[in-house]
Amino acid sequence: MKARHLSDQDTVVARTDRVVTADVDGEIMMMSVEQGQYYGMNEVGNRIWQLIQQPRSVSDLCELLVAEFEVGPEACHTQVMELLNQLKKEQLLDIVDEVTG
Amino acid sequence: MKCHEYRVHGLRVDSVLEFPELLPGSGPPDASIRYGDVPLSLHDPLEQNAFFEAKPGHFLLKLDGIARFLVSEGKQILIDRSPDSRDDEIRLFLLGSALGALLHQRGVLPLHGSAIATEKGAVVFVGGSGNGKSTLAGVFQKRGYSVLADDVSVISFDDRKRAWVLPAYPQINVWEDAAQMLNRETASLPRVRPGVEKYGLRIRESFAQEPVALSSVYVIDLGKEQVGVVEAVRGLRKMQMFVEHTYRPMILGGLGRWRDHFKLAEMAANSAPVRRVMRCPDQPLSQRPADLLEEDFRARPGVAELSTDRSGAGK
Repeated sequence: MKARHLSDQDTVVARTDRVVTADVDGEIMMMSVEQGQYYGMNEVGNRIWQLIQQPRSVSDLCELLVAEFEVGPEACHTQVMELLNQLKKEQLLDIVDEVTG
Repeated sequence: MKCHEYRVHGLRVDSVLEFPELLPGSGPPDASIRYGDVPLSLHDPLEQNAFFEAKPGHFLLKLDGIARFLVSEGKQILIDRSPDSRDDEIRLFLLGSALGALLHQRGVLPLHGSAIATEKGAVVFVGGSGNGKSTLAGVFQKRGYSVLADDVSVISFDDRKRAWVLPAYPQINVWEDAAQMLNRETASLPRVRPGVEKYGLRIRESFAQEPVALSSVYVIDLGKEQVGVVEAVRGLRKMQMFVEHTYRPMILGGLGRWRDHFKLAEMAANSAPVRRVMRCPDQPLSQRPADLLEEDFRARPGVAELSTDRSGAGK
């Protein structure tokens, strides 16, 4: 099986279990349990983070967000990719094999 | 061997080593301090450097010419002394890094800062080294408040997730200039370490001996701008504050404690307001900064109604 890239719409992503989330004063943040680093999240980021608690394909993710937020598919895709790439860079994202069945 | 019974940071500790700075205790011990053979190295440490090694449940502190300390499972500190070591040095590192590791292992939140008891509850002061945490404890002690802690303020949560500050031990360690400001003659005071101009002020008469519900945390920063402004710290920055001002955060990774520690920091952040105060480096703490802080923490809503019920505190 070929290596999956984020740019592929069928790539299935999930958040890593090596982070914990916290909610302080309504602000959601995530912390990596190995390095002790922490990251803040905006509203959309926080929703994406919730959605990828389960493995989900990039296209599914975009579809759900377009329905929830008042945003066009293209703008949504750009924003999602930006966040996913960032999460991947910080090793907060797992790219999992395609969901079967 | 004769055993001394003490209370420190809300714990009952039995010790072979005598600690004149600690209060006596009674009842079953939570932890013990003993002499014994300590290995040169841990088996399979998660983290190791020249000074310490750590893995979940175990912490080894290596101090050449003084001692090796092995801290295990939040219950025991073993001391392996070097031949020429002095008691006061052993006590200093034991009450510092070794006890700090034991507290982390016990799953409480030790903050690097001082704490006093007020009518509104416990007030904690954190800030960088030299920003005046200990001096503030001394200033407020002179103003009639009881001191809970000088260097390490332990926050513990009860069954209902309420935060309490546990009494450390009745001593404030201050530099020569601060001792003078507090009208204490240093000649008769014990130095915290030979050759260091830092002195231990014993404060048994004005020490809070029971846990006090946490009211607020103040971050003391040095700077020339916005002096005198008390600013609320919220959200991510508030969380960062609890993590950054944790006592000895560099050992958390090795102990495998980050996951649990973040949860403690989150609970603390959601139980008390954090406020930041700027002070001018050349301004005496005992005057305007202390007045400002006192006015501010006295205006907080009280947690006094909680302090009558201490069930579960100190676990």
